Amino acid sequence: MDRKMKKGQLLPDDHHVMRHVPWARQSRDADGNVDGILSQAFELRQDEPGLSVNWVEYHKDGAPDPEAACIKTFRRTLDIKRSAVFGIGNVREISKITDAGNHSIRTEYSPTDENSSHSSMKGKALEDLISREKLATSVFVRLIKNADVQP
Amino acid sequence: MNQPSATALIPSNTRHPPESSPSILGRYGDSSTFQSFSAGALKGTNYEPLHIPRANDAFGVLAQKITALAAQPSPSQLDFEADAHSHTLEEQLFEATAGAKILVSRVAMHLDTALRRKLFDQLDSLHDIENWENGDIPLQQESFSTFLKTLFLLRPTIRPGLGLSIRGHLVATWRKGENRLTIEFLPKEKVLWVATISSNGDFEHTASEMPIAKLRERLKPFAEEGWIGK
Amino acid sequence: MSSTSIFQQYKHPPIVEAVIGVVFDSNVETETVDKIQKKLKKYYSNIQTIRQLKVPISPPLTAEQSRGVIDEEIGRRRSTSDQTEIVIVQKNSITISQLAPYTGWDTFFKRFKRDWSIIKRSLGFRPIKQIGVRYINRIDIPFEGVGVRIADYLKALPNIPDQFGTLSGYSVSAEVQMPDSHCILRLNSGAVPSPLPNCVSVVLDLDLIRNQEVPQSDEEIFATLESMRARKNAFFEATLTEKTRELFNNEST
Repeated sequence: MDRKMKKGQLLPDDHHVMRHVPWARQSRDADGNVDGILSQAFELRQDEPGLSVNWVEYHKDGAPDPEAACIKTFRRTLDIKRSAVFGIGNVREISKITDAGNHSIRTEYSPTDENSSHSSMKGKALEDLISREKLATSVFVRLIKNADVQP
Repeated sequence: MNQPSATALIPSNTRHPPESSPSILGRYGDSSTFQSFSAGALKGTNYEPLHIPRANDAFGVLAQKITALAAQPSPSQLDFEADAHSHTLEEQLFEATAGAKILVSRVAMHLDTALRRKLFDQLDSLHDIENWENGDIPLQQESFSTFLKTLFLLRPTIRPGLGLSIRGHLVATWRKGENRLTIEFLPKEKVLWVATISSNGDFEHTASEMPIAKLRERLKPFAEEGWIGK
Repeated sequence: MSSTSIFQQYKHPPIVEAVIGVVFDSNVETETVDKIQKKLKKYYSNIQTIRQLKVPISPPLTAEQSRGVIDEEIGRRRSTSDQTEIVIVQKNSITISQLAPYTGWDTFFKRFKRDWSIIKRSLGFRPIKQIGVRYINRIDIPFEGVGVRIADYLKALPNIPDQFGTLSGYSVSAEVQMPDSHCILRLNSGAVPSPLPNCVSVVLDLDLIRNQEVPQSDEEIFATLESMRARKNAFFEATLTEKTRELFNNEST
């Protein structure tokens, strides 16, 4: 894994990112059984330049389980609740999503002081509800429960 | 135009005027102020004038009498928001769910008791401080009001799963196999809905923002397919 | 004369809120308010403070008023977790409220007596200057596009000449003296935005107040409230038509 990537560079197509999804944005049945992620999990907050994700493959070096290591990075940098889940999406699949105006989503490397694996999903397509629904139902389909990952 | 009556009347056998709260007009509707005005004559016997006001007092006296007759806020209408200096997250979350439950009580005479209880469980779960995401906005009452009205419009026999957007809008989802219908309830009786339909291993998506008045007709195909029940 | 009983039971009573209130002759100490609400905790798990904002707009009369807005704590509100049972303890009053779904007078009154007993143990004897029973009803009338003739459903209406055309809103406030029972009935009624689709909704708020010859003993207070409730029911039934009664007995929406 090339850790010399510069800020703003696009992540490789065959790599993956992980999105933290809190309890309120998980899709569930009427009895509370989680069955996915809502499209609302991909809404930008006001003044947010891009959707925050962590780069999974960044954790590949020296970690037997990069996905677990990625979750531990989340825990170190954010207030992650026990009920949270993490969705994993492939960078190429993310980039294939376009809105009616043919705008797409790019995933770029955007490390911070606290989190060297931090990346951002950006693009006008994120303003489109169907694009967000596609992310929720077709791209970020693999989920890991926070409660299932040991400290 | 005739001037309003300048004489305010009370019956002679009234010792104390009824206790009145600060002159707030009662709030009955979801988003309206109940305006009241006297209609018809006051009934009773042995009236005597309160006083004979000067011409420029007439309207003030009339306004006072109208206010005295107007409905005072009931306990459920009183504003119980916590003091701004101590508005903790826990208090905000409580106010959001309490407000929603009071809205439900307004239509509880038309709701199944079991449905009401499960709805409350779902709301409590979404606002559980143990699960709460920092920066989220608690359930907005206008969104919940739209949700309630939509429930009566669509009359789903399958209960939806509930979620909450970052802006405090309630979100309802129904699943049928790989198919999914998601409705986000906005203020002012509008919704944002999206349907994901599985088709030969692929997915099709349809979405729209619309007033709830048009929703039942628009979602008819999904209802006929049994997505939200019969 | 209608043969309908004043204690008519309806499948879906239109009661939005039922209230019993007691007003004291003098203010209760803040510590006592606090003591009372703590004793009620067992039955009402949630607590909030009720505040009142006063904004002086006329020339200030006191040093306090001249400082501007006054934010004052005026009482405590306790409620059950589903918000259907509420008790409000203020410096000069106690109010006990039941929101829909209304579980019947017997259950509501039993709760009032229970809470009154708890309150009195902390309060001791305090002269009472007013007691009241208030029922806020909302009548939801389905319509299919054309509009509803309110007179088909309610008898407490403004008397508007026909040439005014269709009403898009109205409200009525009236006060009725009942010297025989030392009571005053306040009626407030009017069209309100309906919380239900395809419905016209009308509020009927009946507030029965007694502030003369006010009973002071528990036995007399309870008996008086029972009879006030009966009077209120009689007024309620008198404002209805058979069509309204049919609505209250139809299946849920």
